[in-house]
Amino acid sequence: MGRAADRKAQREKQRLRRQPDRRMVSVIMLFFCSAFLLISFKEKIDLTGIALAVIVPALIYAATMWLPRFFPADKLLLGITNFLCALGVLILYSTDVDAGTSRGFQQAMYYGLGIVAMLACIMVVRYVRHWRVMIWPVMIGALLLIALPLAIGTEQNGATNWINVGGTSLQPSEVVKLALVLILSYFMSRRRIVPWLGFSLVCLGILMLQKDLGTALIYYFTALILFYANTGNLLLTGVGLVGAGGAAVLGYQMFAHVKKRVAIWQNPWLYYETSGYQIAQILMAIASGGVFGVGLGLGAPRVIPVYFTDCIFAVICEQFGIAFGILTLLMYAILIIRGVGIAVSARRGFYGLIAMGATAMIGIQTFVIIGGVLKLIPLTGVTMPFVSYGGTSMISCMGLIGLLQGVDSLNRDDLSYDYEISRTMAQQAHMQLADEEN
Amino acid sequence: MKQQRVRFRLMAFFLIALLVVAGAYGVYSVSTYGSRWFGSSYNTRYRAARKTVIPGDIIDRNGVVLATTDAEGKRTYASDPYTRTAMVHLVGDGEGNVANSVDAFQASYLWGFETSLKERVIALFSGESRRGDNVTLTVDSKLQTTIAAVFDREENSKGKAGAAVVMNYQTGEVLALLSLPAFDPMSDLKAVSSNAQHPFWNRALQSVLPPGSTFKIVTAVAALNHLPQAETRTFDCSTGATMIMEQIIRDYGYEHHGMITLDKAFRVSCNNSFAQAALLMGDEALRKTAEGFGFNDNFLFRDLVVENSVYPTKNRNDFEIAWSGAGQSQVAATPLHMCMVAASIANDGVMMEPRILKEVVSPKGVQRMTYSQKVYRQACDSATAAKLETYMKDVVLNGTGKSAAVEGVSIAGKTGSAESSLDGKYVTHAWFVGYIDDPAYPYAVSVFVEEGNSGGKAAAPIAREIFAYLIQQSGR
Amino acid sequence: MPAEIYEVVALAARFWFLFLMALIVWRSYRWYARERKQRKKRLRLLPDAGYIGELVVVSGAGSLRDGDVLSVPFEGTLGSLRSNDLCVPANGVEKKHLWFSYDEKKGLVLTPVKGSGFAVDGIESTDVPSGLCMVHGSRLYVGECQLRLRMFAGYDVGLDLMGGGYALRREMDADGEDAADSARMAAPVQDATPQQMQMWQQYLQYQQAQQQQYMQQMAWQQWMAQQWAQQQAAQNAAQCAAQNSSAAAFQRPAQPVSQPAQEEIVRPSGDSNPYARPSRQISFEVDQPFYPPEMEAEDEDAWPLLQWPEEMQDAELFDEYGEDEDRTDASMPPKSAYVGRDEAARAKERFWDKYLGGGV
Repeated sequence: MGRAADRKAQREKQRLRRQPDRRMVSVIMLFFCSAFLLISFKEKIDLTGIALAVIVPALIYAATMWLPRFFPADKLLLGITNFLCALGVLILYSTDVDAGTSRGFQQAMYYGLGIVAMLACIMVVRYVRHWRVMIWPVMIGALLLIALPLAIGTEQNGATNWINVGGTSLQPSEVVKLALVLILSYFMSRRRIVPWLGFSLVCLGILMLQKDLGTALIYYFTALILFYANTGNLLLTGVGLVGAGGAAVLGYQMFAHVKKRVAIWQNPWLYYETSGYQIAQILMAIASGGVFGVGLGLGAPRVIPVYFTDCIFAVICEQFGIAFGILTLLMYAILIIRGVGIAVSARRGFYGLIAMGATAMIGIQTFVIIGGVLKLIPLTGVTMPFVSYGGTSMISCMGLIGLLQGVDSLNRDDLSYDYEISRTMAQQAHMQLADEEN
Repeated sequence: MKQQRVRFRLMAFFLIALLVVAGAYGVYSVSTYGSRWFGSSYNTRYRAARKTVIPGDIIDRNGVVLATTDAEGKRTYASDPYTRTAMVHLVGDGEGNVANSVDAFQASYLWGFETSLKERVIALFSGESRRGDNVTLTVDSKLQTTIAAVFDREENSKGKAGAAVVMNYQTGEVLALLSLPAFDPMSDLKAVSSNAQHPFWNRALQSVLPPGSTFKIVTAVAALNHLPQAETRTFDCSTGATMIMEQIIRDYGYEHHGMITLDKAFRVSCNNSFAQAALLMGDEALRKTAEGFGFNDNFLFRDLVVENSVYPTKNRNDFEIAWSGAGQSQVAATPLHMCMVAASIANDGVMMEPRILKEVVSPKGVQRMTYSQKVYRQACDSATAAKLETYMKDVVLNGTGKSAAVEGVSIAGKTGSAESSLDGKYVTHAWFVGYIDDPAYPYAVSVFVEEGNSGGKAAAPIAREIFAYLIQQSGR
Repeated sequence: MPAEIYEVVALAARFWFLFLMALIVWRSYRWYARERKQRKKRLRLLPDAGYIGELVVVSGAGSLRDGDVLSVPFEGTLGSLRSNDLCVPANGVEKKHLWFSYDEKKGLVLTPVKGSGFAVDGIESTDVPSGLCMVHGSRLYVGECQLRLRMFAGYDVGLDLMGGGYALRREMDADGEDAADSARMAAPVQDATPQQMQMWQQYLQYQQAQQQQYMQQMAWQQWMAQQWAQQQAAQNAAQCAAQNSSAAAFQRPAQPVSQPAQEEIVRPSGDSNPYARPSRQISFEVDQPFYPPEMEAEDEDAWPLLQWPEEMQDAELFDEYGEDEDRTDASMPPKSAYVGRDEAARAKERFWDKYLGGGV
């Protein structure tokens, strides 16, 4: 008896050491600790950098290992998400050091906001039961939010989808993404076409008016993916794809800025002085990175316009190399695989669609921005999920992850419920057997 | 629900495939175009390296230093003003005015981006400032200076813009890459930029203009390959003009040659014959042959950024096709490409990639890379090349290229007078492409004189001087 | 730090960062794969996970035999094609006949697809346009076949509606005709998977071993009691003899002196009878109630117990959640975290009340 207990204790200790969550989080902490320490020694010893070298790994550990104790969250998703957010903080901080901006620190604040948004979305998915009633305020609120920039909006980078509230600028279309996923899932699972179709068309129309083509692209393809997943109607999905192509051609013919975007996509060097400057600088940055990069803190990332939001992938490729960029893509791929795994194990169609919608949105947004930066498709004005600087971007992406976590927590509950029941049944049946034998 | 799950998995696969495509495209484009993007003159990164690195020297194949930087960071060019003027398009002027010059395109070597970590650490500890690698070019600066002088001396090309390219047709080394007008990089560049002839252009690499009758090399190859009885059939040049679609194709000076065969047509450069040949074999055949020679291809040479040559593919009617046979219409090429065409004939139909990097050596003497030749493509088979060689030799012996002949060696060549529009008026450019048929001097030459009017009168004499110089400097 | 040194350090560091990043990606993937594997392992132990019940074919379902069982998920479609969640290839059943969805209050709600007709317990689908509800024991008439729903414990609705208790049992008693299929449905043990059977067998073996050990302890205690009884008898005899031999009739008998038990342990000889008494002299307190002493470690060794079977040496059975090498969330003991209710406890109570008269 004593020996068995000893062995059990030994194995318990071994098990603790080899847990996969600890293993991954420890490497992440090492990565960021060493990276921040390196940066902080660049010009003069920067106390903020050293502080960050301690705070960021600690935050990652807390957010990945301790948060799930208090809230029903999935550690793997949290781990990947935290890594990407911290990567964003690292890049922003490394460009801050020369520039004197404080984007890294602000991004850490936005990360806190993002965590709050994520928890809120988890709660929404878990505890809201009466969706039949609750979906309508969500819809109305979303429509109001997305139409707001038309009324009081300001223009940034050619798109009128920002509003200025008390000194900070917000982008409501990012928050409406969350509502879009909920609305699409709800009405598609209830098989009511008119509400979600109407909502989507209105959103698309408003986005077109605001000239925010990247977000419109993401909305459209997410809706298409959800439609196909729900109905399996290949014909109509094909019609949707063709419609997208047709709309693209129409947009090209009608709008001058679309023509400009396509022209600089094809040959940015011709338009170097004007609109092609951004993509040309991106290409030069990526090329100078090569396979291994030029080194953290080296290179000239700030030459690229909006290097901190849309084109942050180019900065990553310059400083860390294209191999690192590909590995980052793989992290997003693991996120997508996990998200779809959650969607597949959902018990109800509604929750499965929520999970699928969140995953699809993250996946498509990642593809659109990375394709734009690598000149696979024309560059649009969307941000890179988790990595880009920006409060609303962080809120929307963490919110999507929150929706995923919510569905995952419901799956776990269902599974544990089944487990309890079957355990009860097994005990019960055994006792019956024992009774029958006696 | 079951179906929905299946479709979820399908969508997951689709999303992952999207990301994989993006990643693969990124890797592909960086590996193929990366050096070009980095070497673009808009790139400011190597200027940032100025703080810590002294750029390496640019040296020609004979050891003449074309550009060097002293310890304070001041860059000086060749001491002889004629040399540095002639070499400026190749070497660059330090300000990025010349596109894709060596000082920008090879910045990764010159500014020490290729030094390994070990070397950097050693440099750090030894305390001396880092130097970039020294780049040795295959170019012969004396040859290039001489060509520039010849341009200036000949009355038909004096004061005119032009270009000249000399290549080793066996290895692909470029011995001269001249573009005129040139300028002195150590002079005041503001005055240069206001020059109406645009001296900053590198005409050898960037001027894409109709090659005129020099394109008949390609047409002749196409005829030999696609026209039945090409060598024996006769073309009708009795009136000196051919009527096609109610427009006239005529020869230079309205000459008429009677009924002639292909070789005679080549020798006298008869537009009518080649127009008829083009119509007979069809646009498809001629285009395929041209693409075999590199037209319509996206040149992605390792060392040089060359504008692509064009053989038109749209709006082809008989008139256009006929003139394409004679090298007009919208057929266009750079002087470098035409040199490659001649070089391929010399080299049994094998076109070598033009390269200018002979050797790159680190300041400590570590050799980073050395010259390696590469076959660009097989333009035609060696039998056809041999036939073209006889035609081209005939041109120099008896035909329009007599001014290119040099005593004692066998020269093969083709002249060309290409009409084109420049600033709204029609001008005729002079072309000559040719080579020395002697394995001791395996050189191909292409000369281009803007508004030179006659290939035989303006371009061929320059080529002769080049050949003579090459033979004098024996065996290099 | 001067720029050159920083440059060199940063250039060296990029390999370090790339290596760490590759490690991070690799470990994320391994974590994901391990979670998936553990989840699959857990699901294998729960073959009914994701299903709320079973539809049993009573009659007339084409290629399905009578008594075949279709597992019913939370939501889905019923029809004759294999792509449906419930595939009923009977006559009269459309390709996609109806949608079903589980509602906690109403039961299994059925809605028709484009005017397909079906009936539940005698009510036609056309009569109730909002959809018909099925509870545990309901019969579904679709096309030519009749199916009966058996809901799993914890999901069965209608208990409140029908006043508690296992509705099926009641119906069985009332309706003798259905004894056959209800008997099939009443014995969950028959549906146990081989793995569950194996688990129960192991549990039985453990029980046996435990009983043996208990019996050994009992035997030892009995022997101790006998010794004590013998000693007591001997003492009594001695007392009587002393009384008889003593002249003083009014002398009070001597108080017995308690002697501590002398522990001289003699190892048993190597004979095979595990219940053979070891020869040792142990004296007890007499006049005191007998409490057999605890078996010391030496005593345990003195009694060669039956060895537990190999596979039970590690006592894996007692670790209910499986010995997973690296604990991840998927292998953590699940908690019933339903908000506001505890269906599992209620289900347990219900069963035990019904069959075991309240607790064990």
